[in-house]
Amino acid sequence: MEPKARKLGILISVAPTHASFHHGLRLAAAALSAKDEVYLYCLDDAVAGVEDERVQTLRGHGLRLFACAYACQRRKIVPGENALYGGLTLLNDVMAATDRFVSFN
Amino acid sequence: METLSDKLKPHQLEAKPKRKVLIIIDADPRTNPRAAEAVRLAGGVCVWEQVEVSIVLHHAAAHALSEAAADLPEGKIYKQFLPMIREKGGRVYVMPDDQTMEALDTEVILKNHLKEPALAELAAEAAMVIRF
Repeated sequence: MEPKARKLGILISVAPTHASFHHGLRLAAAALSAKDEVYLYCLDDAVAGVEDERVQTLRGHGLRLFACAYACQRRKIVPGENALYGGLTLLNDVMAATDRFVSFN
Repeated sequence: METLSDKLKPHQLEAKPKRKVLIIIDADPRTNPRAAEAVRLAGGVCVWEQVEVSIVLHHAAAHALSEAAADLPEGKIYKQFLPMIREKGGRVYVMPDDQTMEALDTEVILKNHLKEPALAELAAEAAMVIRF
């Protein structure tokens, strides 16, 4: 029987041009390569990065992608189908249900 | 023999200790909307009572607890979410610098002040530390 996959939660709140955004994605990529389940929540300025090619590539490799609906609304970003948009309930679930949780702000 | 139903009894689910989350805010609420976003995050998460949230308003961030907080940009968020965090059992600490100290009520400082060693202890106990 295969060991149960570890769950990693990642919060990013900076814009996709910020170095921390890139660091967060690198961590997600490494965890996905290690067969971990990765849950990424984009908050605040990071919601502008949902459609970023790097993010969507990771999504294609199994990344579970969430984004703050409130942050989108404030930035007049129309939610699409490339992420699951929701409130802080989603973030709470990620924080409570993952084995490790790290943030890049 | 213990059945699945026994395993899922509420008292056993409740026995699991809540993970501790420490949110340290450095952003100045007078100029930086990230301070309000961090407070909103803390309030929005603690309301579900699945994790234990504490926040530290570090240096200029402590203006969020000043008497003029309502007049700050996003002032409504501080007024709404900081009491909510306390109601849900979370703590709101302040570590003001000398300038910010002057803007705070003495009682606010006396009740919520945190020193460096205590901050280090909180960080060590926390399962997650989030810094804004």
